[in-house]
Amino acid sequence: MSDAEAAEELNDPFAKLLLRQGQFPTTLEEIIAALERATEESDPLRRRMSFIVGEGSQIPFNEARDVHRGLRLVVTFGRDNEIDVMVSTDASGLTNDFLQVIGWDDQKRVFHYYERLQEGWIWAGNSSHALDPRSRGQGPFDSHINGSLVLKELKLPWNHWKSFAASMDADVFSDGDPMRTDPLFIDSSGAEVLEERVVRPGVRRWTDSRFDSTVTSEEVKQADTLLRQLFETTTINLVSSATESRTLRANSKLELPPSFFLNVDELVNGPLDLAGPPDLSVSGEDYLAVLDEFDVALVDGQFRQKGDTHFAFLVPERSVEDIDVVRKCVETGLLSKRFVACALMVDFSNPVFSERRASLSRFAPESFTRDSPLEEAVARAIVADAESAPQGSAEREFAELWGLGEGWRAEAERRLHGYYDALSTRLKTRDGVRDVFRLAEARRTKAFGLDISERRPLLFATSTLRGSELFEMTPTATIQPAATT
Amino acid sequence: MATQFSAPAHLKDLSAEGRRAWSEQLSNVMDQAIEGSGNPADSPRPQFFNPAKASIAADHVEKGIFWTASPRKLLFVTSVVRRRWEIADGSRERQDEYCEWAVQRDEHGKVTRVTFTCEVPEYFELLAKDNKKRLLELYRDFASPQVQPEDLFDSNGEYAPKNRWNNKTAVGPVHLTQRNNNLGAAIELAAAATIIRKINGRILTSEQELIRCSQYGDPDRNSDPHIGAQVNLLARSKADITLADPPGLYINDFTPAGFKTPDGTDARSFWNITRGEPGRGLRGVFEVPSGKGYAVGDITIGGAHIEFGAQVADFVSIRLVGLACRLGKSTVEPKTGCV
Repeated sequence: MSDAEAAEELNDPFAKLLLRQGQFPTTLEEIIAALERATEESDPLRRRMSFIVGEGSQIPFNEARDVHRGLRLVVTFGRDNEIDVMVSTDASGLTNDFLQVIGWDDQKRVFHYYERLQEGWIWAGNSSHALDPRSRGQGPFDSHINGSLVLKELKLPWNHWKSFAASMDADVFSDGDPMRTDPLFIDSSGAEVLEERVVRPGVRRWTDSRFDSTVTSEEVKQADTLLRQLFETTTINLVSSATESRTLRANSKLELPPSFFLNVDELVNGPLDLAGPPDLSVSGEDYLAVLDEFDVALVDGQFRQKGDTHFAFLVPERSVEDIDVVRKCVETGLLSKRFVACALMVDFSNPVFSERRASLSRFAPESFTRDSPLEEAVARAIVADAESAPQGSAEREFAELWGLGEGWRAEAERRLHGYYDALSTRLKTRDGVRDVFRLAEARRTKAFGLDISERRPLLFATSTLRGSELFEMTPTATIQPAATT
Repeated sequence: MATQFSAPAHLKDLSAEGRRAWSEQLSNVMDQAIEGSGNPADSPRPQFFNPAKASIAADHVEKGIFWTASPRKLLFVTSVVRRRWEIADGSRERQDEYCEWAVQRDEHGKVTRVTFTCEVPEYFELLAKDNKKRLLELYRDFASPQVQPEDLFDSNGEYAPKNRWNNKTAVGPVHLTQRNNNLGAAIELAAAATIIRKINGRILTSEQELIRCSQYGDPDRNSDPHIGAQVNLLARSKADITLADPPGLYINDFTPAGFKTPDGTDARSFWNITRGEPGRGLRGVFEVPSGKGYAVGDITIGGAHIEFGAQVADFVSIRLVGLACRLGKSTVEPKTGCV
């Protein structure tokens, strides 16, 4: 890339202040120092926060020396809610074995992705490339699927991260590791800060930018990329119970995350405001018995620790990236609550990895002239297809609810209540808990196969069920092999 | 050199005698916390020390411990976020993270102001004895100009912390009232958390294992397990532990991420610490200045209008500061059983 091209293309602070000035730091410390040299004391880039994560972050080094703990450090630079530079690197020994930078470009309003390789820094693309079919899923967009910031474990208790729900002891590092006393570790903030100040605002920043550049009063460009995030599981977040596995006892109960059972963030807590689920806890006795039955353990090579992840029942949930795009669609009037509800109520008991719901993506136009509402056109196409579609198809399910007009809400709630009643009954039984665990393992298997998992061995606990076929939850709270379209 | 405890955030409400009494009261609380309940599994707590009676060594380090003001226990009550906000706003008893708030609304029910406090009741109890005039001034300032002296005392003439001006979520708040929100509880927790637990040959380190073993608080809160784990982390460095002066619970920060104001003004500018000192906020107010033409209820967070104080509480963090010294010198052995 020539200097002129770089000046045109790369205007995030990392490129503008360092790379384009001929400064090519090779370590995190050099990046910190270079940014300090390049900025005045009052510059927001001087505001720095660090965070630490590791799938093996609760296993002291001396208890298991050969475990791949995956300890990584994230350092952010910028204003509280508008972080402009984010650096990721390995934490153990601060060896800078990998060094990645994300920078926000205020001109193009995209995140740029950089990585330091042996030959030097490479620019791997910007957020918009994540949506371009030619580069989708490539390079950094294998995990930044939609071009946004990513924090997989985005909600309390932020499994694997240091947070106010989980301290991280220095003894996770080897005795001589400089990180033990490094301020980047000692003074690191909790994941609650990363969630609230960095990632959620970052996701919204890119969503807003996307809409500004693709949705006008005359036209909706890339309508298919927006609707894809309504119908499909483009990526995932991970969520767990708030209970440390080691504290679960037979006489206690385990509150399972509601988003495992339905898309609670959009159907209930989002714009749709539908009735919420009841208590979704299971007895500790049943859960522990199921862990035993399926030989659940954290395993990495020779290392084996019986039981679940630090916080129990870590499972994939609908991603904040997908949710934020839908929020914006409703907020801007591109989609009505009715349309969103009709889409999300298709196979609603499977909030992630629903092939049936995803099949509706084929009705999304690539671009759309706004002389009539986008959703009318899409709904018309689905309803037309529904006539010849088999019973139980996504088209039929959508069309039935859509056909009720404003009666969609009452019918959606009727279905949800039926599901809630069935769940309440099933979760009280050992069989029900076994099925839930089986379904969770199937979803974990699927999630582990995604690039976002980075195939880190301690991301999930493993079991004799790992690798099993994908199951789906039915509205009667039983499981069955997942339907494929 | 022994220390006299300062009033929270070095407040100046107390007379010289009152300040001495405050220090003495805290010293007694610390002594009791060091002694413990008498249960050998939990007493005494030799790694906790009273800086009014034992010196702080030169190698001392302070450690801020932070958590979110939003009550975590409500996560276990309902998964409907709006319902959680309603419950939290409905009763001060539900606001159990050492931070309580009240919400003022206009005649249409729109939120106009959310006021947070983390002032401890013990301070007001002492102020009621030391300086009734100042107590009344504070009440009239924080709750209503209509407060009368008799409103604040019971029939025996004792100060009533949960009086009619400080027991609701629509007035005040003046100071903490929730049954576990007090400095004594925080000191007891910190002292109990200095006990290192070695169970079946393994040192306990995690938030929930420690609190369940040591029984020093509520495992479902944000605050108690985290305070305990962080204090225990200091204790495991073989240090002596206490709370940094002035001991107290403080508002750490307000970070309005995702707040969108109608005119684009940074929502942080609507937040003011109205009592305390820099770095040690005791009272925070979120309110749009008159003249802006809109109110707190017109601000959105992630697209949703602010209808509850609890929505704002999600972005307020609270802090307690621990102090460790004589690092690496403690010879106290871990206890091998739980409480």
